[in-house]
Amino acid sequence: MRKSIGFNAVRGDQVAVSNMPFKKLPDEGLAESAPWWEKLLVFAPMMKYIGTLLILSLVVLFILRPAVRGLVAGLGQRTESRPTSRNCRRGWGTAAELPPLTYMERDPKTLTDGEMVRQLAMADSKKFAELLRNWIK
Amino acid sequence: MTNEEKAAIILLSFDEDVAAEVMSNLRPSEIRRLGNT
Repeated sequence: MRKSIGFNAVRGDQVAVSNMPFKKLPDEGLAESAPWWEKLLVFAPMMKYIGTLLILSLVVLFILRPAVRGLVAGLGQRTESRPTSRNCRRGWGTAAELPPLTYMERDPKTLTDGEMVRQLAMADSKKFAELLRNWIK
Repeated sequence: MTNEEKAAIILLSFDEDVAAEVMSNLRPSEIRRLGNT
């Protein structure tokens, strides 16, 4: 070290070793002064995953879900108009023979079998009696 | 369980006025058949 700095004792050079602490910078002040978009850059690697998830959710909510609902509703209408073997076995006749429902208090999908029968009887007791007559023949 | 028994159970599960309304549209012989089950 003496060679590197050209130390010369004849000239009266002196070397003094002293210990000084590092100056501590206020970190919080720096972080707060950064603009908001720089803070968002921390999350940049996660953004593609969040974006993918968001797009998938939108596709499910606005495309798949309505499509599935439409399909289910279409299937429901088709099965209602077609005579089922279950109905024939019960003696209710085919769906084409059954009188159309003219009165429903609630959505038929939410009714139980018993409630559905009660609603039928309340809606048109004459047709329901005909139905019973065919059943007990 | 016969169909007569099922029909009788259904009528019993109804309110009295609804059951009466339905039974008023049945013939006496049919009501007798239901009553005998």
